[in-house]
Amino acid sequence: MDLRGWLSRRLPVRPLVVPVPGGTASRLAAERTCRTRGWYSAASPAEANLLVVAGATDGALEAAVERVWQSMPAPRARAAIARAEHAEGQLDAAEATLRDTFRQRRQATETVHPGPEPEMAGRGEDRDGLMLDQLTVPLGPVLPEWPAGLVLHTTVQGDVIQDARVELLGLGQVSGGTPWWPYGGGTPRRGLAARHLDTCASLLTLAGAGRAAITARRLRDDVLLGRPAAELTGPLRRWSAGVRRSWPLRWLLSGLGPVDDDLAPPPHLAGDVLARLRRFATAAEEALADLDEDGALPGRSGDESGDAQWTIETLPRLLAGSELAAARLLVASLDPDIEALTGREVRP
Amino acid sequence: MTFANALIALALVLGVTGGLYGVAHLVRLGSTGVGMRPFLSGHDPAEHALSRFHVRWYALTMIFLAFDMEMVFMYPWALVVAEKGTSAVVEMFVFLAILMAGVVYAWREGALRWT
Repeated sequence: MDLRGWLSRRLPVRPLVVPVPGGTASRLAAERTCRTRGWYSAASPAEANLLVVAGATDGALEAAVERVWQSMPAPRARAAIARAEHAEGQLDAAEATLRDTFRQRRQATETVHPGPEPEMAGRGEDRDGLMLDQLTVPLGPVLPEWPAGLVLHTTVQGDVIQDARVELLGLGQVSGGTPWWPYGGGTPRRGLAARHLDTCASLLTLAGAGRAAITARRLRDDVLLGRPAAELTGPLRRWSAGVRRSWPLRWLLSGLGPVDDDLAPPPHLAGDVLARLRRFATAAEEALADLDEDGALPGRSGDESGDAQWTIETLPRLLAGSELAAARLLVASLDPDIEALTGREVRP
Repeated sequence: MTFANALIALALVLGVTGGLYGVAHLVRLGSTGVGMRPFLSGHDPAEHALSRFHVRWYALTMIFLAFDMEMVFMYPWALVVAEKGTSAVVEMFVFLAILMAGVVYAWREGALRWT
């Protein structure tokens, strides 16, 4: 009786998608394939059995991916999707590896050699003047629903972020240009609607609104694949209304991650996380309403690199004093497009 | 008879435990991973996971224990105080006074100062 083989064939695939600067098209293709096959995303390496790297990695980013791969338990497989059109094939191959008991048993014998135990944490006064342990908690680059290539080195006391430093990884590989800007994949308004839906999907996933997030992803993929606007308007309006009316989301997100006006934010990033979510949901609906018009694009300033630059410059100030749990929601609601920064001189 | 029951229970426990280990052995792909580090978005942890607490929490714990002991002794005391009479009341209040002296001492030393 081949018990392992029997289980392998019935194993649910749980992908952990690693976004990489320059790999947004690959990520979209990978996420679409995973979604249509009914694979639910994993929240951590321990839960995942398929590591999907969307884009080309190098240097520190490669090392981070390797460390996450080392910490994944068997059975496991990885797929490197350098180009969007290879997504299906690469994921097929990875799934075959995942269900191949012989290969899984062979690789499961590899052992991890941990380095020496790290030192005890240093201490410092927190905002109330209490001496508390200061822990260094990095956020990104391998974190679900996190912008590609962004690393936040936070210093945490209790669950409060005392200090945050921004680092950008993997921008050397990017040749410039992003699928969002100038909104590629059809008309500008289609690209813009998809970008808004992508931001909302990340935010909704983190907020625990899984169904609304999956709907947002499905609509995003439909928009990018060129489904007629007439067919999309109804579902998009229902989804958008649902998100804006949701009481749980209002309780959860209102007052979280406020951006004061004296920080001079781009208009669409002002307010709290809830305001941004509602604004993006509305803007996605508006962008799709008149697909063929050229006029001003709703909900974005049109300067993605300027917005991303503002976000990475302001993030340390926004995060100081906020709770660790709020940090991911805040970053997801700002959703800086790190790829757009390649053409800029000024970075952190 | 009781002895036989205990033996049956023991056999059952051993059987179930052994069965679980056996199933785990049959379906596993490799040995248990050791030396795994916590997930930190692809970084190695910079500090040990063990956290130290401020010494004030230990003083606070002692104060809590003082109040807790009071309660523990007062429950049985409340049942018998009526028949034992004055002596029981005096003894209990002497005991409470000793505990309160400890609390007042800790208070004076700043154990309850928050900022």
